[in-house]
Amino acid sequence: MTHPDDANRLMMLSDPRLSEWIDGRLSTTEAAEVEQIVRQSPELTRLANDLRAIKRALSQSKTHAPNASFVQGVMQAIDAAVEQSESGVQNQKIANEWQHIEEQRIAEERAEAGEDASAVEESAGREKMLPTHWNRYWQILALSGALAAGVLVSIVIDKSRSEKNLGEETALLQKKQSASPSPALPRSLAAAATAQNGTVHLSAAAAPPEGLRVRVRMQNKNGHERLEELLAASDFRIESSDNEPQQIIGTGSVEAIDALLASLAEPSESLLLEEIPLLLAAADTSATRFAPPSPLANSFPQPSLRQAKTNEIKTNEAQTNEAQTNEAQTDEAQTDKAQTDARAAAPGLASADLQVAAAQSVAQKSDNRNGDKAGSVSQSQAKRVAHAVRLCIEIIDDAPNDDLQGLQEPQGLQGVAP
Amino acid sequence: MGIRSKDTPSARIVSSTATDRGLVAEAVAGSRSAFTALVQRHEGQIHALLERLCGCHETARDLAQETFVSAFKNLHTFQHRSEFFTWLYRIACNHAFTARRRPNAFSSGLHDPSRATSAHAGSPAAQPCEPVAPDTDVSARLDQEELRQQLANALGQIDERFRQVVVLCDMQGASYEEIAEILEVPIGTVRSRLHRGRTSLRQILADL
Repeated sequence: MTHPDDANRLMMLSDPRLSEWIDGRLSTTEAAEVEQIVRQSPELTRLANDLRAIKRALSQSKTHAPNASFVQGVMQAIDAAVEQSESGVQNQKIANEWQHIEEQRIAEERAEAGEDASAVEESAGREKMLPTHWNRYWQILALSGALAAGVLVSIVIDKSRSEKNLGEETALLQKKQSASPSPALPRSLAAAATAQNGTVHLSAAAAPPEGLRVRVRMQNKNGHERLEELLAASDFRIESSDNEPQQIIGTGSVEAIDALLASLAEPSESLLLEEIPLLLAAADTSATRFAPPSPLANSFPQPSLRQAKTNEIKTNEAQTNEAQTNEAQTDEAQTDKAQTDARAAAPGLASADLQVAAAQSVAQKSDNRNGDKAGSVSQSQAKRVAHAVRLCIEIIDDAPNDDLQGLQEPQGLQGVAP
Repeated sequence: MGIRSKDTPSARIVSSTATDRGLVAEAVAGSRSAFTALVQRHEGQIHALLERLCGCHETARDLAQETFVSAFKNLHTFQHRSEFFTWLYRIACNHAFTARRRPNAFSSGLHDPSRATSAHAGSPAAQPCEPVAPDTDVSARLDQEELRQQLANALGQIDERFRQVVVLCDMQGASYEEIAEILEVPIGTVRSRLHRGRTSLRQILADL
């Protein structure tokens, strides 16, 4: 019958914990246990002492230092190996031998690992073996899979969140755009304007006493000719014109003014009836955007604008006063003739100057006629004054000056300076 | 740890602050001087390891050269999963292990595996060591220089696998974990081999 102490002694003789105890790698509890067993056995005491001495002696062993030319020899061997690698035969042999030896070594390692595992299970209090390489790999794979899944989920969540934010921002933007600010209009324009979606629709019939003011922007050199054509086609009586700033002031009937404004509002490449926000429209000197003031404006046929406007004017005048109609026809004819004479007299004048000259000529003739017919026209004048609306056309000339084009070319001056 | 400068044409003075990782990267990129610096940095330890494993200075020199040549050829496969010296140690141990399998072994200084003790080498089950005679006090005898030489010889007589662990632990000062990483074995195997290697050495010395 084996004494328990003998069992412990025999166990400890082959127990790796004895070497671990010598190396100081055991925990406090285990070290105390092993120390107690060793003290109780002289044999174990001697064994422990011998193992310590062997360890100490091995640590004090000396070796030879490598030769001074060792590094050079290594680099030469590397150079030789590189040269041999071109043929590939030598390396293949070495690789095959290496692989065979490595496989043999691994097989032996595994066999011994199996033996060690069985030995560990037989003795009590053995420590847990570390997982094998295969066990380590599946842990790495599982961790990598979890990490990839987490990244994928974060990408999906971020995408949906960004789409949600985009939708919210879009809705907010649409809400802002749909809002229609409608600042209060000043009293002077309130009666003459109706706000709709940020634009002001003027009606000459409801014009304030000081009249209407619009701004026309010349897009190109044909803008002035276009304006001249529209003014000639309308029943707009020019009273004065200025160069600084460029503006044309005149009067006309309600229908004439509305028709002229509708013509100016039509899309054109040469001139543009400028759009100004409502806030600036509160100022007396600002222009406003016009929409067709009445359904009648939309009924104008596009071709033959001059003829259509003339017919309308004739019809309106015939309904109120036959005398006014005749005088209007006379004024129109005189205007055409005056313009022709002005062109013939001074072909170099700008369109505005031509208009001024024509207007002055007409006005002079009209005054003379009015003067001769003071009594007969007083009634018609009164009627005309009653229906007259004052209109100021401010001209903004953005058309490029052809004379200045030459200065901008690198070849040199080719144009004439204005 | 400083670097011994060598008066060799291929060597250059390398800053001691350059890490192994940086030198490896430079060497992989094609820097010959970077690999030379790595050789200079680790030649002493590799040479000592191989000399203790093989028991012969000349054999250790040849095996050390083969170790560095193998490291150079396979440097592009080193993935920094461990320290560079750990990886280098592994190559050196493999060279020492495979040197025994070659039909034409190295010089006569190579340890004869047939002389390895068979008491515990490869035994399927752990057998308790035979008790040492009371009058053979190994620890007392190891104080003599002569017996230290006998210890070095005895080291060549134990099993190759035990010898690797004993040399790495008791002579190179590696930890159990480092040894497990170098030899690519479980740490429990390291403990077992170390104890069996020491006890085998004790048995050989006791028989002397």
